[in-house]
Amino acid sequence: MPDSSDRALVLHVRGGDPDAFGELVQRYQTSVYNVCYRLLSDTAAAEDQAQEAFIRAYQRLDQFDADRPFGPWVRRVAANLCLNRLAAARPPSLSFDDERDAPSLEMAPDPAATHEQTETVAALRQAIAALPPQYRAIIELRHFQDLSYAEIAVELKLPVSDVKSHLFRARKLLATHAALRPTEPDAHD
Amino acid sequence: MTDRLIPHLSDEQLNEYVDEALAPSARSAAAAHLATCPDCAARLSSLSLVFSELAQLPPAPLRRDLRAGVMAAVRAQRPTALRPLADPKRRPVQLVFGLQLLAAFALLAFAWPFLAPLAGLQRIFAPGIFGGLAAELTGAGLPSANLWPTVQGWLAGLGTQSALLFAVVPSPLVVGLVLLAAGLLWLLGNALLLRPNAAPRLRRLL
Repeated sequence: MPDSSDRALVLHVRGGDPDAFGELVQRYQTSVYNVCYRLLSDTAAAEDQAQEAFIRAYQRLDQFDADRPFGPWVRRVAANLCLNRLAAARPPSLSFDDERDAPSLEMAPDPAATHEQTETVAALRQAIAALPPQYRAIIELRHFQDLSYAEIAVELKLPVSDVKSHLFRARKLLATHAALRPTEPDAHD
Repeated sequence: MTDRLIPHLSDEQLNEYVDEALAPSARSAAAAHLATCPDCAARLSSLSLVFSELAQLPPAPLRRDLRAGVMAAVRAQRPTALRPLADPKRRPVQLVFGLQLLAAFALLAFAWPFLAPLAGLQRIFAPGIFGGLAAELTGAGLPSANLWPTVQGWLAGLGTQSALLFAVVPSPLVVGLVLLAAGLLWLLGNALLLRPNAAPRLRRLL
């Protein structure tokens, strides 16, 4: 039985078998797409960036340590691509007017999938999409890519103090927009 | 009144508490405060809910399979993208490269004293340079051509095989030149063949 681990597939690709890369795409396309979607809040753009992320990953496969997990690496490639895209389009977008860009719940066109989503999930997706891009980026890097404050600071070229303040502010906005209130309303906000 | 008496945790402290980014002593102090302050405990609960909801966020469905587009692009660029790839497992090559570099220089340094007769060239090419360098080496305690009698004695002590070697090698200068050539070839071969990423550059040159 052939070894179909990520490492084996990566080595197959390096050995001259590009079809093995298709299997890696199959495995990680949803998670990579979700990184892009959370950052870009646009279905079509997220699909394009996810595809581009895989192509970039293929081109940089020689820099990838095959002994490390492929998934986090390709998701980081995707995140960096999206961050570059956000940075390129940043001038008008750091204001909270971005909330107008929040996608409607059409993001899940599959009726069955839509049906499965709870109101909280939908509200949270909207809340993430409503965040200013830089806040979205910080939420993505901290909560979905598991980066530390210092790592985020390097990634976004920000002082750690800014990373913290943006992150805390983003969480507060998420809680507010998604109406996440487990107990009594906050007394200190 | 109570709020003034009890220093509530700041938003930053609360966030760092949940992020487990507080120093141990600060974390203990925050935990102690949270155990006795319902207000801060409620804020913590609210913040923790953001964490748990984000953690449980299910993946958004992908509308189309990306494989076709990716693979078309991959196949289009296959000739360049599938060049021999630097497997991280080849990192030891860099260590070998470094060690061989040192060894080659050591060989060249060892050859230098045998080349002292070449100092005569200073009269023709660069007056002072060779002589100055030789003087520097001698001044630094390095042996010059005077090393040869020592080597001769050492070889003689090795018996008949060394005698044969001695018969083949007629002079210190030849020994020096052989060592110099070996060192240079080693250095050149090492640089061309083992230096990381040397192979693709070589191919381009060829």
